[in-house]
Amino acid sequence: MTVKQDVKQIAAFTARNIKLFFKDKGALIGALVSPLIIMTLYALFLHRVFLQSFDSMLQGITLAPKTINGLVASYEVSSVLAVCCITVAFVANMTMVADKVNGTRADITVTPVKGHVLILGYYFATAIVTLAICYIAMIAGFCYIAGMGWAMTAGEALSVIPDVFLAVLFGTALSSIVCYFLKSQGAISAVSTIVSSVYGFICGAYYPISQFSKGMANTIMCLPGTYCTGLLRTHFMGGYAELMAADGAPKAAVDGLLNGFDVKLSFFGSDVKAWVMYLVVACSVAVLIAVFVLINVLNKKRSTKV
Amino acid sequence: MIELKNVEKYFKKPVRGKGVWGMFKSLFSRKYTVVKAVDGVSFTVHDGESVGYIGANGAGKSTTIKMMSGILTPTGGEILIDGKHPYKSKERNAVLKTIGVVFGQKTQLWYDLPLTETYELLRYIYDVPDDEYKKRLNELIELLDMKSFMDAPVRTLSLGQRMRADLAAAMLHNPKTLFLDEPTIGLDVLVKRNLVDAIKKLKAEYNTTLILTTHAMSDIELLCERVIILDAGKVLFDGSLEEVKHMFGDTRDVKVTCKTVIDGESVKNHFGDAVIKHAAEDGGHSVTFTIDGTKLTTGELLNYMFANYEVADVKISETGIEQVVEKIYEKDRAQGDGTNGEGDARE
Repeated sequence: MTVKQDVKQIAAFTARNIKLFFKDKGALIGALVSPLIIMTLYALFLHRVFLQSFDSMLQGITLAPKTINGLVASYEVSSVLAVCCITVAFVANMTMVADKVNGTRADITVTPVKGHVLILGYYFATAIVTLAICYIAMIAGFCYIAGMGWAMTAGEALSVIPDVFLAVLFGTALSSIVCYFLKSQGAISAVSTIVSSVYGFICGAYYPISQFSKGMANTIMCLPGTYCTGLLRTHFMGGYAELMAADGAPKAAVDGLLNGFDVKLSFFGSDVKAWVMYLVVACSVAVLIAVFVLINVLNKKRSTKV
Repeated sequence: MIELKNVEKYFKKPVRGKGVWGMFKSLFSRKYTVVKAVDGVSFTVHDGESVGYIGANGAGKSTTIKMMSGILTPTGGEILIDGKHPYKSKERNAVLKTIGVVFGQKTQLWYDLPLTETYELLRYIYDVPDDEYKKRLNELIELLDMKSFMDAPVRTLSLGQRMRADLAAAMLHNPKTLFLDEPTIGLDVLVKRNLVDAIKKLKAEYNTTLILTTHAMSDIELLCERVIILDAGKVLFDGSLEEVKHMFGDTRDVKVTCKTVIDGESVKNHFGDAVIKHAAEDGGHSVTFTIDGTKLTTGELLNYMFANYEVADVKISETGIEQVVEKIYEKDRAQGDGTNGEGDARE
């Protein structure tokens, strides 16, 4: 009975937070447009640089333009999606920060709402908004890849859906913990800018992890965000191995290229399988949500301490 | 039933150093001042009672309301609402389901969403069954005349509309007890009157226990039969409205208008200290006598006036609770600087 009531209350709070987010046209447009802008910037300014980089790794082997363009486009889209799952979550978390700033979160304490209900309402609302926007970005990404050179199998394309789902849950949990302590709109803008730049590097979205030194690469591999990027890379770019082989690229060159661009992640010399990556991300999400709820509970206890 | 037993609430306020050096120093060694907001308050409110909880700014009224509604935890003493502690996490939700709170200077409505959205959410929070919710919401819309702005976002409502909406939000789950913390603050006379009438109707309809804090004594006179006066965190008086008036001076103003000029001084001399003061208007044709009701009746004064003057008009007004409280505050100001709490700096 209580669980049923809790679920109803969480659903009502989630709906309220989503409505508030969609009422804020500026935040909505900003969140929606930012992945598309980053994707356009990648396509316009970095596509050629990535092409040269990929070419240099192939050591004289020439691939069909569709293959290499599609591979680079897939790399770009997976990078954009890996970062957006965090940046969009920060923007979507504005509702939680605004509620703290205008005192709504304190006012709600006169009602019989349990702390975890309130906090999960924020979490699910942020996750739903972020998911909606990231899936739109994913569709735009698929269109871009299709235009440049498609190589994904239906299974791989479908696998991207749970990849984005998990990455969003992870990004939402991480951003929620950070945003919980923020007390102004300015702080959230500053923190989201810092986090999105730093996160892009440490999750391997801006620069392949395999290109770092071994020690640094292994350190970064200890961070769960890396596995979100790893999953996206695996499913977006894995299909190109066959296409490159068909274009006459030797297996060693294909493997070298895919390893060099994190399609196959390795941790202390061992390959990390996709199911391991799913497991790491899922466990991280569970831990981060538990931390988020715990922070709220401890903070509430502290504020009402005798 | 609400029981407060020797309730205390102390706040620890950091004392910031002056200037840059002071700020820097306070990073390493901070001094605190302990402010006693509520200092040993005890009272009992029975079901269905209407209690006016009054006092000067900083007397501890809102702090007590916040403790009774579970927002703050008392430093000492005990608060029981129907035998449960509102500030204990295991009992809190059970208590909060039976109370409603309206803070005049805050709102529990969502600013950017229409009222219906807030009410819908409150329905889930308080677990109000669908049929009961619809019935009750319709009753409240009717009673508080809210039909015209139900679908408007809260930020577009006037203060009077918002207060009515807040009152409806607090009453939606049919609470046994309603705490009203300065509900008429900032409202004009007409809107205030309408809101007070609505509260009266709600109370009559649902027999809700009412605890009202306000600076508008007319609200207390209209809504409450019992008054608790708080001063510097301590209960100064707890009794009926009539008692408070009597205790702090049963004075009344009698305004007499005559065709001839009234010699106020001779009237005062005749009755001695039973006439506290007199003020002449209209060139001495009208004089307002403030009399001590315990020493002189209005009839005795009027008999004298009718016997000595050609009385054209008489107006009698009893001293309002407003003046009574004003007296208490004046007394308080005369004793000290009127501030509450005792500060005691500690490292």
